[in-house]
Amino acid sequence: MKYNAKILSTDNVLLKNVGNIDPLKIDEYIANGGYEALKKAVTMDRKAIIDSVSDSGLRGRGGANFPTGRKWLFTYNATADQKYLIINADEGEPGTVKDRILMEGDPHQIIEGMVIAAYAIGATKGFIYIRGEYNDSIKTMNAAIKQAEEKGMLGKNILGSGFDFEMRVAMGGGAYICGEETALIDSIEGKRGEPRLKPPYPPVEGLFKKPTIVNNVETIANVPHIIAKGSEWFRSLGASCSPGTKLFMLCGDINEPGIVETPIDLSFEDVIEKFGKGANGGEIKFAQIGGSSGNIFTPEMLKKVWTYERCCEFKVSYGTGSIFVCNDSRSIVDHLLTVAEFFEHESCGKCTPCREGTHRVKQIIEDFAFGEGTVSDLEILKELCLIMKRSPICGLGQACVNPVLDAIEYFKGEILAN
Amino acid sequence: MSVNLERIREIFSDYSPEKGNFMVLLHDVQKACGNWLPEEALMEVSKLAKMPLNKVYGFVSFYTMFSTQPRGKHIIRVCKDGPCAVKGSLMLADLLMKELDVDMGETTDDNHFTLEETACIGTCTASPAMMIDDEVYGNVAPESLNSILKKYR
Ligand SMILES: Cc1cc2nc3c(=O)[nH]c(=O)nc-3n(C[C@H](O)[C@H](O)[C@H](O)COP(=O)(O)O)c2cc1C
Ligand code: SF4
Ligand code: FES
Repeated sequence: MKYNAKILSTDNVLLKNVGNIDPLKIDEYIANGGYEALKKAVTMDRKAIIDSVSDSGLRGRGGANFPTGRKWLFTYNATADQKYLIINADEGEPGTVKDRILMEGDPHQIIEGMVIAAYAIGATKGFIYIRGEYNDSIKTMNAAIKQAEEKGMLGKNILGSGFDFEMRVAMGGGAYICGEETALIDSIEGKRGEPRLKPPYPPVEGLFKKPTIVNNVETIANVPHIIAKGSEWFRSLGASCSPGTKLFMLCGDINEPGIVETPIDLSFEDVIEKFGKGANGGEIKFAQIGGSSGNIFTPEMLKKVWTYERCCEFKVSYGTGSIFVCNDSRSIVDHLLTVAEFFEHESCGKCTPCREGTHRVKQIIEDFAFGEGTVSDLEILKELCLIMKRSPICGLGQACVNPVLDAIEYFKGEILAN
Repeated sequence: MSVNLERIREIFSDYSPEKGNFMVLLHDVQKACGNWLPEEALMEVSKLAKMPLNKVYGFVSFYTMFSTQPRGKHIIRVCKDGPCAVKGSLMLADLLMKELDVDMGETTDDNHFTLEETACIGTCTASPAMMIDDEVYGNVAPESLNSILKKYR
């Protein structure tokens, strides 16, 4: 594997094979217990698989935390001549490298999860939509798909069960918004990746207007383990409201950047200290959690364990699980400007509050960066952000103001002093 | 460079006509045309895909990885997002602009390199990061830049 992310610690669930087997050899995956879960799944009742995933408490790892089993049930219950399963590997949140490491380090874990999911919901066709910049992931997944077909794990009559499932790699073209599931679907359909108005939601009407499940790579990688070891085992890992392990990425001003697999029973400060060997270049000033649209956490907040429940209570999110540490030599305004430029570029332009809003937000932050911002500019910025939280049609426009609002709350003095 | 229409037709016949392949096709067409999509190529795509030219153009202009302007033989993409920015990607971009004597988005006079900014390329635990064509480089130190570029010269 050419990929250069260091694994700092693992609980040997999702990262069990990464770095330990040759990802391009299906036999090594099988020798390590791979495809056993699929063998078990095809003898199970479809509904029982979904129940097992529901009971496990698995929630989506793509950022929105939706319960996976509940989502599958919508598609399972839908009647249609064709259903689809799509795996979202558009990983574009700055600071996030987890889906890449899973694809390049253990591609069959993803394929196995996909076949089980497809069998459960009744999808006979699937895609893994990989961002265009991830060449190695695309190559690895394509090679793995071919091997799985040769072994009878994909294609017609999988493992003699009578179930057919065909999957292919679909590519992105360099647009962050295609990570949003309806934009992703349009992109696969050969269109511009602009989010659709919802409802209808994809589980009922998605790709080519057929019921479609979109799951993140990390979500689907959990599935073989849940089927093989049971939902109770899964529930025994981590906090009761957010069971299982989670991949976290440590980047920025940190002594030991890398990737960590841990149940969500540690505070971010512990993750930073224990695995990342602490911040470098100074004390931690803040960390942005979960990517560019993620919340800004103060050192005080980093001391807590952010289970799913606590996140709901405080209306924050750990998103993709990236932990971007900034030390006290960093300027909050510079950071906001980087973030604002990102969203100005990545807004798809479909709706006005986001298209115009991301542009204005960037302009005002730029004024502060050049020392020209005033108290009233900051008030306008805050008001604009609050409007943007409500009015755009997709999560990009709604969430991109989170770091700005957080920064205004925690670092108002510094912003005005600029 | 003249467009090899024959090659474009081949690319289209290599894939099953089934839906869902359009992006993959266009990436291949762009490669075949030398890292960009000339109008003649888009016209051929429009014919083969039975899609109006304005739809093809609308698609291409939406995605950052496609270009309707000529680009160099090698594309250098420097990540400009947060984790890389704090680890020196701006300096890296400056060095590259000086070394190649181009601005961001421009192509060298000899058509050898095009320098672009990119959003995060999933190498944030080894920042600063850049890509040259399909290859990713992490932890790029200013001193190592020349030896990396040499491979493509
Ligand atoms: C702007 C935006 C970008 C997104 N990017 C991604 C992404 O790169 N990968 C991903 O899995 N989900 C992304 N999502 C979330 C998806 O829309 C969707 O919720 C997710 O793929 C569902 O999978 P899960 O339930 O397994 O988490 C994004 C959402 C928004 C609004
Ligand atoms: S909120 Fe932004 S990204 Fe989402 S649809 Fe509207 S313009 Fe596009
Ligand atoms: S932020 Fe530069 S590679 Fe992710």
